[in-house]
Amino acid sequence: MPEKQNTADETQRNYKILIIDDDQDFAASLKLILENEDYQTVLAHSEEEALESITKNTVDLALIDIRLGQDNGIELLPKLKKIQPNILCVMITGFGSVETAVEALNSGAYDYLRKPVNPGELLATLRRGFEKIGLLKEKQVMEGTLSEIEQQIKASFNQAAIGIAHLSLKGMWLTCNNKFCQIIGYEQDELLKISMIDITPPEESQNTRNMIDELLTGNVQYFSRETQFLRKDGLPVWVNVTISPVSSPSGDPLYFILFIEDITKRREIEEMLQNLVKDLAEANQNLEDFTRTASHDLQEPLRKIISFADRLRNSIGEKLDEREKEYFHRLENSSVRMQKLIEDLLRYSRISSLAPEMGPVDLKDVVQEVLLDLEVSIERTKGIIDIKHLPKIEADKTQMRQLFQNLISNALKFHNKTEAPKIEIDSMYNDNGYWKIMIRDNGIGMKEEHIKRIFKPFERLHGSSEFPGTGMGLAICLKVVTRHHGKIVVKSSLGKGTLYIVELPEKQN
Amino acid sequence: MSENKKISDTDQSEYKILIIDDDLDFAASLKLILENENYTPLLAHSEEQALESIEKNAVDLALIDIRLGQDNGIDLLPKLKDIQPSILCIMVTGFGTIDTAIQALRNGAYDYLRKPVNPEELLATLRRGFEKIRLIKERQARTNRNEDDNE
Repeated sequence: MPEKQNTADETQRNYKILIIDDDQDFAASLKLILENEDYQTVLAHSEEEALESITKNTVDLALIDIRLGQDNGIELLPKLKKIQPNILCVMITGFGSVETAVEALNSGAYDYLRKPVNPGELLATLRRGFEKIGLLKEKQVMEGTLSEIEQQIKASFNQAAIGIAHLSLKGMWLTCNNKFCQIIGYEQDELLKISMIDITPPEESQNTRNMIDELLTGNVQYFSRETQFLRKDGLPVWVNVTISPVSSPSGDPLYFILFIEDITKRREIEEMLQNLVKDLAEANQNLEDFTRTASHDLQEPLRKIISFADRLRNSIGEKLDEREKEYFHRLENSSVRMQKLIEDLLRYSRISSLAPEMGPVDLKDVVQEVLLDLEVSIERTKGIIDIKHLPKIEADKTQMRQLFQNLISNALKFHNKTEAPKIEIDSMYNDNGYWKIMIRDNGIGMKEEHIKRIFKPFERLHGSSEFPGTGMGLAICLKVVTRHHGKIVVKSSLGKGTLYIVELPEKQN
Repeated sequence: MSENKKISDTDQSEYKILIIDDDLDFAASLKLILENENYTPLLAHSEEQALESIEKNAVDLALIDIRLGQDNGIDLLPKLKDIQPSILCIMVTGFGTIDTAIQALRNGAYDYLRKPVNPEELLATLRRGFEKIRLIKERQARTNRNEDDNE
């Protein structure tokens, strides 16, 4: 250890030695020997001078003549130590007075030297003394540093906003911080008398034991989970707890450290949210059931109205005058319209209530089928439909048909009176796994502020005489797309045509 | 700092002292004094015995007669330290051989005692020695702890 050697040598001149002797020549000769060795020395020739000097100077070691004029060197010892508790005192005794020397040692002297003092022995004794002083100073510095660190750790521990506790390997609490006590509702001294199992709900205790056993095997470094603890007042508290063993340098587990966080509030909010979602789903289901049942039940009397109206026309149709025929015609029209409304309503509610049957669907085939269905209106409007590219995706084929049927028939329907409808269908792949399908028409378009409204059920922007329909088409489209985890965007302005962008995932997960 | 306290409270019997002296009676009387103070003394009457004993036992401190039969106690010092570097050696010198004692101190002895040995002086010298041993051990423990912390 070359380091220590160095410090011992270099600090030699930093040590101050007080020579207390009434024999001025002897004291001076000691001084000379010591200064020769680079020690700092101070002289005192009486008790009074010695006490004065030690009050003024920080003295590490005193060489004290045991016979100090009329004063007694041994009696001086406690007086010196009172002023400077750490001082080392080396007594200088007359020849042959071993008993006095031993008395001095018992009174707190560090060592003694015999007169005549042998310089070699003097220096050896001083080195021994300063070695001790050096070790003690080192220790003080180290302990000062340690206690500072300890205090910092203690403060962090106590003031942490998270509950921290140490648990013995047998499951007893060893220590805990304020937050821990606050969460569990025990005072620290109460907690230290009980075990981990005492604050664990009975149904969780086996789990907890297993967890501790598992940690002790060393296969698992820590556990982190949400669980309940029982507070002192018996109420459970939800906590997020992390538990891990603290091991000695040789790897033997010493104790466990636990971090807990009170998550009761979060759990309450989560529970509330879950209940809300459940209630909402239930309400939606009820509404859908109602719609389906209602529209189903409405169909029956309507069918009767239509069929009896038909019979009535067959039997008395010829006898009616023009005004009566007009009434009859209106009656029939309204009934048919109502039937369509109910059918769309049923279709709409079916999309939400029936689980879609997902499978591979080639949208190109779907659109071709739709175009066949729409053949009459395409011919009538002289519409041109340009299909560029359509992908194969995972979807419910029937619903895809409904989707494109509604979108394309809308594009045909809302065309400019002066221009034949022209519809362009194309698609492109997005990197995020979605296909973008664009359906662009040259129709009448719509005001931007109306775009939001068109997806609502029964929403109509135009009178039914101008553009017939139930107002359910786009509501059904939105529902289909949503059920396929996609979205639908409309870009339009009045007179400038409309662009529908449907985004659908390639795969349903 | 409970650990440090533990070290300073260490039972005196945990300190092993080897008495090396060819004067059997004198060695036995030293042993008696030390046992009375709860130290654990071991005896060796020759250099050979001393080296054998120190090989086998973790000796903290040796009391060495400066004139050891035909062997020289001072020559024994480096041999003991070779085997146990941390050992503290206190020389026991005959009356009036202070120069030899100083020579021993220069050769690495910790302290010396004059024959006839005053028991109180002996014990005071041992206390001084063990205090140093304790401080060194504490420092070692601190160093080890720091090394662990730094890992």
